[in-house]
Amino acid sequence: MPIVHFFTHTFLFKRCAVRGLSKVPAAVFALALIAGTTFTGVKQSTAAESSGSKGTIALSLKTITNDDFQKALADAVKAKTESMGYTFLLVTAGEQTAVSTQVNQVEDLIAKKVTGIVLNPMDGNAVVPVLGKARDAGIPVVIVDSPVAKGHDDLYITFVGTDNFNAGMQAGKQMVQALGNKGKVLVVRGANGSVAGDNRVDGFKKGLEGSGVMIAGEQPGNWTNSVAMQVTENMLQANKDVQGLFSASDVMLDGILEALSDANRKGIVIISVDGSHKAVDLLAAGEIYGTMAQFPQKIGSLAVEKLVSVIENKSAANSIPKVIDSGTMLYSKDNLDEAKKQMF
Amino acid sequence: MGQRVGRILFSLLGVAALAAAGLLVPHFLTPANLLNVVRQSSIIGIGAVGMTMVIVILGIDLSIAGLIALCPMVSGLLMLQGVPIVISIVAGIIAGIGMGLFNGLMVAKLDVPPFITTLVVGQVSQGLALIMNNGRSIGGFPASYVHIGNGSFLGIPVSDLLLLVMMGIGIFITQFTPTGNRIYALGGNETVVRQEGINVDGLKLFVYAFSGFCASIAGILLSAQLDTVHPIQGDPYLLDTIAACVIGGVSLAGGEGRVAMAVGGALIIGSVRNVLDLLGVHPFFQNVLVGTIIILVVFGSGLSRYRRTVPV
Amino acid sequence: MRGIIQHALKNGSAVILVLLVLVGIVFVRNFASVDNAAVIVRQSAIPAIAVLGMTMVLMIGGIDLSLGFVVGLASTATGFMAKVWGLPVDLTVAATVLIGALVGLVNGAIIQYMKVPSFITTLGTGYILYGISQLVSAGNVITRLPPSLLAVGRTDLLGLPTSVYIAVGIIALGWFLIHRSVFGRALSAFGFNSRAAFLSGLSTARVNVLTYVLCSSLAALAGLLLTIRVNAAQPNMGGGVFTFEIITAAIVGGTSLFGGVGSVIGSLFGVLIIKVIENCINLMNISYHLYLAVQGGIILTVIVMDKIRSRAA
Repeated sequence: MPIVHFFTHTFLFKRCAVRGLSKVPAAVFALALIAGTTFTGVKQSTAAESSGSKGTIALSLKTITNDDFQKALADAVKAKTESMGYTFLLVTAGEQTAVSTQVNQVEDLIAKKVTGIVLNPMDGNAVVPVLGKARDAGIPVVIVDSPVAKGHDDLYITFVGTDNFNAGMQAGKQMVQALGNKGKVLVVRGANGSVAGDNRVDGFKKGLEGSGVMIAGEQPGNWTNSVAMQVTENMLQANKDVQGLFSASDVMLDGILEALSDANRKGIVIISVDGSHKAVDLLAAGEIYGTMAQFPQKIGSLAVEKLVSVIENKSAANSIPKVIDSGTMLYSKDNLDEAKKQMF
Repeated sequence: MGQRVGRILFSLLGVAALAAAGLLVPHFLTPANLLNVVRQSSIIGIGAVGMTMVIVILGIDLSIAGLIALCPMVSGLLMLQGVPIVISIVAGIIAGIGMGLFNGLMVAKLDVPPFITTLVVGQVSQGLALIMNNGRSIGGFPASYVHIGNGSFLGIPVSDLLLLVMMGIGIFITQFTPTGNRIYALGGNETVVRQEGINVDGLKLFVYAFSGFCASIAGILLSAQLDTVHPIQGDPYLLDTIAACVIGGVSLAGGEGRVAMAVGGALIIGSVRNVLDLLGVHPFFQNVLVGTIIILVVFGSGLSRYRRTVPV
Repeated sequence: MRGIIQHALKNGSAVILVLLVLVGIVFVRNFASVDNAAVIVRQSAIPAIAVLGMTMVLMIGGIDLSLGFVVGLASTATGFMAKVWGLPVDLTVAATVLIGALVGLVNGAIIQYMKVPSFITTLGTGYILYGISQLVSAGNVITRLPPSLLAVGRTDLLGLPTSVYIAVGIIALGWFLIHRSVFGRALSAFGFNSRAAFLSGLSTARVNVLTYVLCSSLAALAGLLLTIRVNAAQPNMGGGVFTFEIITAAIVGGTSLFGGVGSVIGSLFGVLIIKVIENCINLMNISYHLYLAVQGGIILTVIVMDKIRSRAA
C-alpha cells in the first residue's frame, strides 16, 4: 500500500517547472510590502524623531509577551527616555530562545546609527562580539537585568539589575525559615537554557544548604502556565508529602496554583520571584507565601539616566560604578503596603 | 533556455529590489549593513544547502536545530580544554555527520517517517547540548576561531566565503555528479529508481548525512560569530531554513529545487528581517509582516509555474 | 463495539500504549494509582481535541503549522471576551470557535486558491496570528476568569472535569465523521490521489477548505478549554511546541505525513502515549535538561519497535 501510494503521489506531483518569470512576482511583492510598510506608519519612530528629538535610544530584550517584568522594564525605559528628550525604540527577539536573533538585531541597530543602547542580553557570552562592534561605532551601551560574561567591562558603561542568584538564595533562606528547617519542596524551573532562571534556582539551592529542607522534585515549567501546571500535577503525584514550592517566576503561578487546587493540596508554602502585581494580589489573598521583588522601574530609569549622562558628556563613562544592584526584598503578608507601592 | 533567461531576469530583479529597498529604507544599502545581512543569512543559507537535498528526496530534516547547538558545543568544549582548533572542529563535524547517518539509517532501513526520526534526533541532540555543560553557555574561544565568524579575508567576511564554499559544494553535488542526478530521480519516482538497481538506501544515507554535515558547519560558524555556544541557539533556525528552501523554489512534493535558489531564499529572509529592523517596526508587527511576506513571496513565485490542479 | 476493538488492535499504537502503561506500573513509583490515571486523562483531553483536527489535515496530505498559534489567539480572545468585555459564556464559546473557523477559512483559501503549499501558508499564518495575539493583548495575561466560563470546562462529574467529557464527545463525533461518513471517504480519497478524486467529481475545493476550517475550529476550542484549565488567557499559549507535540502524536498514532492514511483512535492513543511518557519523566524526576531528549528517545524506540513488529507480522 505505501509503495503504491508513494508512486501515485509522486507521479501526481512531479511536474516540469517553467522557470522563466517565476521570480518576478516574488520580487515585486516583496518590494511592494517594503514600500507599504514604510508608508503605513507601523514604524515606531514618531514625529518626534524629525522634530527636535535628541536622538534614539534603543532597548533590546528577549520578549515582553507574558513577561510582566520585561514589560515593566520596557515601560520604565520608554518613560525615562522620552522624558529626557529622546526617541524610544523597542526591539525584541520574540522568543525565549532566540539568542542569535538578538545579536542580529543589535547589529542592525548599529547600522541604523542609534544614539545609545540599553541591552538585556539573552546570553552573556553571545553579545560580546556585537558589543565590541557597538563600541567601535561609538555607541554607548548600558546592560540591564542579565549580566555580560566576566572580563568584558570595557564593552559597556554599567550593569543595572537584580542579582538573580541572590534573589534565589534569599528565597531559599525564607523557605527554610517558613518550614521550620525541615521538609520537602518542589521546584518549578524556567525554560531550559535560561540564565536568569538557572541562577535563581541555583541560588535557591544555595539558600537551602545546611538545612533540613530537601528538594523532592524539580522540573521545567518553561515560563508558561500550561506547562507549569502539567509538571506540578505530575510532581504532586510522585510526592504526596510536600510542604513548600519554589517557582522561578511569578508568571507560572497561575498554572501552579490550579494544579495544587486540583490535587486538593492546601497549606503549601509558595515562594516565587519577580514581585509583580499579580503576585502581590495572590499574596494579599493568602494564596502564596511570598515573592522576591525585583524593581524593573528602578532598573529601567537608572539605566537610561546613566546612558544619557554619558551621551551628553555630562559624566565620564568610567566614573560610573560598573555594577548597580537594584536590590531585592521579600514581599510577604507582613509588608503588603510597601509591596503595593513598589509592585509592577 | 527558458530557465537561463529566468535566472537572469531573477538576478536583475534582485538588483532592482535591492535598489528600491536602498532608496526606501535608510541605512540598508550601506556596505556594512549589506555584509551584515549576508553574514546573518549565512547560517540559514548553509543549513539550506543540506535541507534542499533532503526535501528533494521527499524527506525533511528537523534535527538541524539540535545539531546547530550540539556540534559547536562539542567543538567548543574541546577547544576550551586546549585541544587544537582544527581537531575540535572536526570532532563537531563528525558529531553532525553521525547524527545525520543515524537519521538516514532510520529512514532507509526501518522506514521510520523522516519527520519523526529527525525531530527526535534533534531533541536528543538538544538534550545532549544541555547536559554537556549543565545548561550553561560557553564562550571565550581562541581568537582564530572567532575570526572565522567575525573576520575578513581579502576584504570579504569569512562567513560569506564559507557560505559560498558550502553553496559551491552543494551545487557541485547536485548539478555535476551522478549522485546528484540520482537524488533528483529519487525524489521524482522512487520505484523506478529502485528498479534501475540504484542503491536507494545508500543515497538516503548520504543525503541525511550531508544535511547533518551542513548543520554542523552552520552551528560551528554561528558560535564563531557569537563567540559563544548557547545550548539552545539552534531553535530559530529550523523553520527559517525550511522556509528559505520553499521560498527558493524547492518543492515539498519532491524532485526539484536548486541549492543556489535555496540560498537565495535564505538571503531574502535575512533581508526582510533586516529591513524590518532598520525601519524600526514594532516587534508585534514584525511577526505579522514576516508571515504575510513569506506567503506572498511564495505565492508570487508560484504564479507562473504549472501547478498541480489540486493543491494541498 | 467489536469493530472498534478490532480496529484498535490492528493499530500498533494501541499495543504500544498498553506496553508503556505496563512498564509504568511496574517500574515507575506512584504511576499506578487512580489519581495519577485521572491526571493523565485530564492532561490528554485537550490535546486530543486538537489532534483530531491535525489528523484530518494530515490525511489530505497537508499540514497545519498554525495550530499552536490558533490556540494562543483563542486564549487571548477568550480572556478578552469573558473578562474584559464581560460577554455571556455561550457567546464567548461560540465566538472563539468561530474565530478558529475563520482562520481555517483563510488557510484553506490561500492553499486552495492561491496555491501556496500548506507548509508555507500555515507557517505564515502562524506568525501572523502570533503577532495579532500579542497586539491585542499587548503581551498581557488575563487571569481570574469568570466562574461561569470556568464551569464550562471544570465542572466535576464523577471525578473528572467536563472538558474530558467534551473531548470524548468530540472524538466520538470525529470518529464517525472520518471513518463512517462520506466526508471521511472524501478525505482519504483526496489524500491518496487528489487528482483522481477531482476527476471523479469530488469537490476537492470544498473538502480542502473544510478540512482546514475544522482543524482550526478544533484548535480554537482546545485553546478555550486550555485557558479554562489554567485559568489564564495568554497570547503565547500553545505555540510551536504544542503544534509539534500534536503532529508527533498523530504520526505516532499511525497517520502518515503523505496523506491518505489516518486514524482517529490511533491519534488519540498517540496523545496518551506522549502524556504517559511525560508523566513518567516527571514522576521519576528525570533531569530537566534531558526531558525532551528522553521523551524523544522513547517515542523513537516505540516507533522502531512498531516497524519491526509490522515487518515480522
